[in-house]
Amino acid sequence: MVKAEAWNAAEDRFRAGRFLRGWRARPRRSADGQAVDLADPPEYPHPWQVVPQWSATDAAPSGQWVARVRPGACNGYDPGVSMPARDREVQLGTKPESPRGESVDVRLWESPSPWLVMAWRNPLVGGSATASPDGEVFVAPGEGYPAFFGRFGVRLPASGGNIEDPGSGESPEDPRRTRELRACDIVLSMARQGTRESIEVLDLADSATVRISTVFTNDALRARGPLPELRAVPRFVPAVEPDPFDRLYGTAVFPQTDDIHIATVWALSPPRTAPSAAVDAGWRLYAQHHVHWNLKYATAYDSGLVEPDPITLVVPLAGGIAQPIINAILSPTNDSLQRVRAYLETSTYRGRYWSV
Amino acid sequence: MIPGEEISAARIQALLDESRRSRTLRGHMTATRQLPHGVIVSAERAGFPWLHPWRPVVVGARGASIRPGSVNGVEATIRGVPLRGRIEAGQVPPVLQWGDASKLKMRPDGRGFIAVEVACAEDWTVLTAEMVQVAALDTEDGTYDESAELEPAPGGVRGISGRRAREAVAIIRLTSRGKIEALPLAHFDLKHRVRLEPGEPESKRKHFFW
Repeated sequence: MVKAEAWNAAEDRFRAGRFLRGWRARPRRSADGQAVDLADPPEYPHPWQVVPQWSATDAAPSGQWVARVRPGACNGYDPGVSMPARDREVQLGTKPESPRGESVDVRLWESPSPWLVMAWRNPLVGGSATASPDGEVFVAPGEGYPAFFGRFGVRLPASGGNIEDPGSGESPEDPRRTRELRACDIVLSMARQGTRESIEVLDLADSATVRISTVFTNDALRARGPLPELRAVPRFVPAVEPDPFDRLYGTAVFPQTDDIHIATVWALSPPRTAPSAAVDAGWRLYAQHHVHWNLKYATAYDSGLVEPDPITLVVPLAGGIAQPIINAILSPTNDSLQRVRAYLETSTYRGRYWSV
Repeated sequence: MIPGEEISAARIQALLDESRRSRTLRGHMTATRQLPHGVIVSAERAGFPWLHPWRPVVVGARGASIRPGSVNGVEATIRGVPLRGRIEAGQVPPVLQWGDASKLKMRPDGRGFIAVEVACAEDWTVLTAEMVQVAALDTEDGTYDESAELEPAPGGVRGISGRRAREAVAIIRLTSRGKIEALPLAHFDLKHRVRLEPGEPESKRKHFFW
């Protein structure tokens, strides 16, 4: 005869053998047994991974969206992040005493990690208006968004066209699409030397000569230093490099930074949100990454495409004492040489990024 | 069991023994937790690390092991031993030793590099790739030169004597608690080339890694 205790013990033992659902694991039972399916492995936390976070700040005590960025590096250096000084003081556990509006540069890998304040754009509204020669005004369509958000019922972007056409510049009506969307871009920037050409007309007795001179500009490099900078902007606009005609006309202005688009953060509203609504804690944020690996950066100068090659004359004149004088005499010539090189586009310092 | 047959205590005991043998045990990259009503099976939280090339793992305070990586197909080594070890010779994967935390070569901002130092042949092909711990990539002994201003961070690395050049594959730093932390910079095997400008002295040549 089996005692009740023994029977109950057996039941308990078998019950204890059942698989239960755990973290990233799903049990499956069948008549033949039970199996465990492990979910896909968690994604690798790659450099530059953006983690949006609702956080109380000095400017918005009730909270605002900020972005923390996982450690990333450019040329082995982590970028600087500009954040409100008072918020940094709170992060560090000290009393905020800095004046409001003042900001501090914090390296991305410092602890506690700095954050970027999001600055939003609305990709649903129409773009700028342009007038045609015959007086018609056309409005550009809305920027739009990845198809992924269409499934959530985001309002359609504004359609473009002649502003007098019905519906032009407005979102097409769709009662199933009642959500709003906002976007913010995160950009990495490296300062570099820029150049600016200027044109001068010289009136020489019976003929006019045009002289195109090049001014080397390094304001950004002096202000920001050689370290990369990470910032959040409503919209990433790549710097426009001058075209050959600009250089031919002597009006070329080469930018002083090279920027790369790291990520776009999209904010998705709850259903039935007003088009003018501001992003608040009820919105869901998604990060779309454009860069996943650490970066290297080199200007054309650094990569060997341009190498200043000043004229030098080394002679054992007066036992070498005359060398500084020779250098001084050659200096204006070298300046001219550099200007000619710039004009011939050999002094474009435009840099390139690559990943490692 | 035949219908009508009595269940003896011995049979129940045998069943219990069988049940014990069917216990769920923790396997590779999984965690189990026994509860009265079942076993919670989970994936290991810290599991599934991506073992990419050059992945550094700090070993105590004295060194770091580095996952195998290569430069132009030349496998990196520590003191001549490949990062994957030499199984046939009984050599386990080596550890890059720096002694203790006070011996780390660091910049004033409290950071240093784990770098791969390549030595090139006359035609600039890579001969060897040796792991080193340095504070600066372009000084002979790898120490930080305080007299040198911080240059605009170059994408190319200036070479050093002996047709050598270093590329950082990880950053190491001391945390506020004094713990050594390594953050990977390179995630893939590397390629290398040298900028060859006519007449440029060897020491001024820039080395590019990608």
